Amino acid sequence: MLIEIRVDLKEEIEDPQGKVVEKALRNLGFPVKSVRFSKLIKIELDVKDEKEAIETGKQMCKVLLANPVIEKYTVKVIP
Amino acid sequence: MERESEGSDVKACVLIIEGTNCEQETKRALDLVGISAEIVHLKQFSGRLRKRDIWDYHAIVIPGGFSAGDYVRAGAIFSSYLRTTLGREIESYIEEGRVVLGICNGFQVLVESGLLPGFNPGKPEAALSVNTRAKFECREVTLLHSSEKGRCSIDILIEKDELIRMPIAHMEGRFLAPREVLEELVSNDQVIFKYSDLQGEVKSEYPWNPNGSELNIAGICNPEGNVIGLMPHPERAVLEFQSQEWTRGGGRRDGFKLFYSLKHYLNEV
Repeated sequence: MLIEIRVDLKEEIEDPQGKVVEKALRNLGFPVKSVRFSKLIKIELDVKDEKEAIETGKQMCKVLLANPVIEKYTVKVIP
Repeated sequence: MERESEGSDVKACVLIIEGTNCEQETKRALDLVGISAEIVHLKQFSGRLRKRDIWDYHAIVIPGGFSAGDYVRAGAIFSSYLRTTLGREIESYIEEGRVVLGICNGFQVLVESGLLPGFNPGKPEAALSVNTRAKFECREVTLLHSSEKGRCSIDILIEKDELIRMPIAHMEGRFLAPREVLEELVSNDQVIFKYSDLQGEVKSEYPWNPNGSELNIAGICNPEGNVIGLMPHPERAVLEFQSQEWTRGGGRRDGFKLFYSLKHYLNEV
């Protein structure tokens, strides 16, 4: 089963990488208001059902993939 | 180089995994003050090959570098290996009062593993996030020793409000934490070093605060003072010629004081 984990910086946390890209894109003439980066992680799991897949994904975020102080995450199953 | 470590019974372990790259100079700095240091790969605590025991060392130093390529977040992979390899053992090591020092990437590891600020080990309560200017900052900075003298194991020879010069070299050094964690850090006097200007005034703007850290935090300790994390590199300031003032006839070696303090502390306990 394939899951997709998306890790975003919380809204209140500044994203320096986004700021740099925002400036560069504006410099190229694009009408950019803001840029924010997030991470997309695809994981193939050896589990029985979707519920277990989601639970496992969340657990992975808790222990390694996200730092709760600055990041939030969503987990979904890819059909 | 003259070393005091011959026959020294104070031992430290410089703990590495793949991607750590400051282990040699960290070992040198420890040896220089008379702490007998050994570079140990984390694997050696679990595997059978060249097996080591953390209880044989009086201190564990996690040096700088880019452990596991800084993947996921700086220090995150190292911290997860630390948990699976040493787990509860490192917590009892700390409870017993032994010293754990993290420098730069090592600080990131300690924060990721929740050993710092240390209110609730096992869960991160702070983060060392990307510098506000999204740049790798590599230069000497001025630090204000903001805690009391002897608050932790590495400042027993450093006066309160003393100014220390040491280099930094990091991309992810911006200390962020929820307000209540910051308040607790301050009320417990756990903030050891703050970035300041040349006169020791704590200014939040660049370049004095190189990374945008909350409260200008450059280094903290746990409530007991035996787990310490520093973004600056004391091991790059132990000899006069490492200082940028060297060619102009000056040359401080402020990092030496930190390691020398550690030596004094370890001799006492």
